[in-house]
Amino acid sequence: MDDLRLLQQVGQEIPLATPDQLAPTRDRILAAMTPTPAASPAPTTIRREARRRWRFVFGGVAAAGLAAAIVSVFVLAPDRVGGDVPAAKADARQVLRDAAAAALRLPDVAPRPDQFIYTRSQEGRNLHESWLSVDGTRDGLIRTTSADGKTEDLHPGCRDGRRNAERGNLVVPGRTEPCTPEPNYLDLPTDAAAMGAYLAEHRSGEPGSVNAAGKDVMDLGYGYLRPQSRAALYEAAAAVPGLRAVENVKDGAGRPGIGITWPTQGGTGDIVLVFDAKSYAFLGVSGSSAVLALSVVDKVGQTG
Amino acid sequence: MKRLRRVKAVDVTTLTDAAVIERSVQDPESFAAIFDRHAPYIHRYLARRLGAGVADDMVGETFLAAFRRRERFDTAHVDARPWLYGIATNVVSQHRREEEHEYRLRQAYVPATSEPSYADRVATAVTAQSLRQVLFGALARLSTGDRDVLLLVAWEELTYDEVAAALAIPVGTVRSRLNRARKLLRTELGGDSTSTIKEALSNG
Repeated sequence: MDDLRLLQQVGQEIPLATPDQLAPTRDRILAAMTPTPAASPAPTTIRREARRRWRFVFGGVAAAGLAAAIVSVFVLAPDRVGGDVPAAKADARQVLRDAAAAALRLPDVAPRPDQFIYTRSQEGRNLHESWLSVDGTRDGLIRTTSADGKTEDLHPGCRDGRRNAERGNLVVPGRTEPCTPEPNYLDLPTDAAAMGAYLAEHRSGEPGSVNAAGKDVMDLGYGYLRPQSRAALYEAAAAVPGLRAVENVKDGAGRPGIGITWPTQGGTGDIVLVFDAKSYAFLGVSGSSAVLALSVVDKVGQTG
Repeated sequence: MKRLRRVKAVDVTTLTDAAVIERSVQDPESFAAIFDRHAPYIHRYLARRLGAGVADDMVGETFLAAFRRRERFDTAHVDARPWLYGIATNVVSQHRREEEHEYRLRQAYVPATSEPSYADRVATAVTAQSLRQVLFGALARLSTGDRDVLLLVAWEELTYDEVAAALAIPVGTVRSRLNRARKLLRTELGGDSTSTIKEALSNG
């Protein structure tokens, strides 16, 4: 049985679009691209404006500084959760700033190149544990525990430009292939302005887009970040308008918390990032996943 | 207008994607060549994930977004398709409800065009209702990041490097996400359905 082949088969049920089918869309796009007197400003102008907005957003954060974030107001007082009294209306920016302040109180561990990032997470019904080489040169391991038992996959490191070849999920003994080391930890910027610039440059979303900001927090939040970078990430996201707080949500492991979400175009299936309502630690994504542990360890198999 | 006509004298169809996009910064209309080369594939990707009903609109949305950020295209990449897949994946992520709806629809749908002469036994296996239930159910349950990687590899046949470029993530992340996604898929396909597939493969 090959899961990929099965998937490919159902993929092939959908044919390529024909030029005729695409013609109306092509016309619409050409009309939008072609500068006409009636059209909105040229795209280059929009772009520059967007850039200015982005700079403005993060310039503001830098000016305010992290000090402002640390003097945070707890918008969600613990005695008001779950009681008869309606919970205080949480504010997304405040949650993120509280999360940033909380991150700064965590111990700062600088991963060494020879160490591993250990992650334990729950995805649906499966428990995943992974030990991934910080600099990508050591052999890592991914362990999955499901109802059917436990499976382990080697994650070959890249040394001297070669690594063990893999076919499917299995390492082929005695065979190597050329490679470049793929680090599993990156030193990211440590202040909100620089983080904002980094996200605009390196991440996939439009600068200033609330959707991009939300997804960046989700993607980067799952990995190991040093406290200052994590704080910078949350601060940068807090500066993007449009994020919304949702109270009384649960992460993929059923742990309760406070959620951050954002409007997505056309759909109502929003992603809700869950933070612990007291510690403001990032817990996971509502209903789908949960980060149970995240640390820097010396050896594969070590859990903290 | 005169300027536009003069630059158009060059046949953009002979240029690489990178050259066309570079050119389109000054000459927006030449971006149409990018649409002509890649739209059928991007359309199919969107139809696979969001359904044929909305794919026309979504392919428009994708190419307009690509056009708006064409200055950000890294011209070190000759081929624009991974970049376009990345933008299309962003569009998909804004329509998760539609995506899950599409997978639910396809759980029940058995392709009308499947010919009896079609030799591939796996295809026969996948037309089995129970297998479709499991497969599309598993797709809907995957985390979005894992699903993006899995489908770009399985359906769109991108290499790990191309997926990494498309999603702006490290190649190591592509590998671990793919591992995780396939693990879930195999777990879900385990049990009763495994024998179904094995039977279909050996008997077909």
